[in-house]
Amino acid sequence: MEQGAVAWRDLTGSIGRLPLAAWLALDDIHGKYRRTVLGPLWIVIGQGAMILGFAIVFSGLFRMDPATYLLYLAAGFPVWTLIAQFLTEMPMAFIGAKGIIESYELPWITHIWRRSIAYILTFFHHILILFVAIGVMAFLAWQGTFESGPQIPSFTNMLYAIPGVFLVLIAGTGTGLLIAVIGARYRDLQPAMQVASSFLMLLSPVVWRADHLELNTWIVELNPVYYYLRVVRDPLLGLMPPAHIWTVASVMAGALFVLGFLVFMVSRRRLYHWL
Amino acid sequence: MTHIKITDAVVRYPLYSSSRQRSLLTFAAHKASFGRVAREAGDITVVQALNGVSVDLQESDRLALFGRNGSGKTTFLKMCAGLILPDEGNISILGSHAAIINPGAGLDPEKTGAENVEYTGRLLGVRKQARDALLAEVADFTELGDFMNLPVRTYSAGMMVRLLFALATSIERDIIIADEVLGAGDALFVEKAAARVRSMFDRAKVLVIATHSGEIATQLCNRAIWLDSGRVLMAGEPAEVWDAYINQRPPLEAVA
Repeated sequence: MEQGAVAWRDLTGSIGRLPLAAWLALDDIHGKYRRTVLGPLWIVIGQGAMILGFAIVFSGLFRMDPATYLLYLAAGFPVWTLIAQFLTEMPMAFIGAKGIIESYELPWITHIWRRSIAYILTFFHHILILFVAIGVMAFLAWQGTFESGPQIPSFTNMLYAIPGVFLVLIAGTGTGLLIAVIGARYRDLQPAMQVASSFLMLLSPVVWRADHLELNTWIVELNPVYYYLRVVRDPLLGLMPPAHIWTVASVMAGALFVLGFLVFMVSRRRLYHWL
Repeated sequence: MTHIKITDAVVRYPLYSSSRQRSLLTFAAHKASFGRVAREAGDITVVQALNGVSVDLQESDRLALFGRNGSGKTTFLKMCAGLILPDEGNISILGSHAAIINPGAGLDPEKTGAENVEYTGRLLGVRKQARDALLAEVADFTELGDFMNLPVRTYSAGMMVRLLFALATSIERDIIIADEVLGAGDALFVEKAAARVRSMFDRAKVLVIATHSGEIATQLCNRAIWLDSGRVLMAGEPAEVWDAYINQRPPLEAVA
């Protein structure tokens, strides 16, 4: 089928043009931050304030060590923000790129990669708050503030977050492609995804801990977000996620990518008319 | 080898007359009620924009498209650019191609002129060295001087047009597809612009333009087609086809 050949060429072409997608992503972030001088700094400060607030209130509620819980939040919130960006912003990916699609001979999937890479770069920026938190904890531990302080993650273990982020990139790009196609056809997908994502956040162990869940453990077991949270957050906290977490996250990433591509393929003929 | 080969292409596209036809919620309600609720969701008008069009363009072919509004010209151009795939029939496009349908897409008013040139150059896949040459060339052509280093939002309308135009005509492609020939700027600019458009068209191996000017068609093209209601009413020499089109006298065999 012609449609299949066009879609396949689009996918392979988009992989060849990943450097362009990365440049465009950097440029997008640069453009976003250019508008305000303090912009990038305020994002980190804002996140820091929110995490501190959560740590103070919920460590009491959940009876957790405030310092350990603070690190848990500082690692988990940026991962959640990353996942949520894929879900809530991808509906606009093709619609927003209409002008470029019409004017330049570029693979359409490049516009998905462009956004995916921008989200990952934003995540690397957000995760600074974790390093600030770790620095403060290490300093307090050195001062002898804690009786039994939080575990300071070792840098070597943190490197395992890199394959974790890669899995999020693959799963997110596949999901993003799917969402971008549906979002072009149905214009109320974006508000729908915003509602869905706030609901999904409550169902995902971002603020609460999965091992504290005694009833309804299916909430995490059947929740795809849980696996991606763990492959990135666990290493950031110096822990190694168990093998089954890696397996589920990898298999699901591959499946989501294939699904996204297939939906793009069968919709390619009509996609331009939807834009 | 460069070619565009279109055989019996039929293109249909949906027209969404109400925003409820673009709603996921309405669609869900329509499906869940087996079509009893939200009837308009299942009642989308489909327009047949092209109705069995065949064209074979080889290297050095220059095709002019005539036709009234709604005759399928833009759809035809977008199909040649690979944006639209035919619902029936076949299309084969060989060679790099660019469509000048929406000039200035991706131009960011917050960026300076020079940054916009860099951005456009990257989207076009121009390499680093050639991008530097492009910048010099655009700066020279637009005569923007120091304005090249100021955000585009500070430009006057005329300056903006010059930049857009310079970028749109800097494209090096085997196949150039253009909707109406760009007209722009002050009187002095027009001559320069015309020369630039010509030179871009000359470099292309295959050219497809939609135009409302018989003069442009006869000067630039060696072939022409007259589209009407998504069909090729007439094909031939530009002067001949233009003459028939402007007098609305299709050849007898097309009417029969």
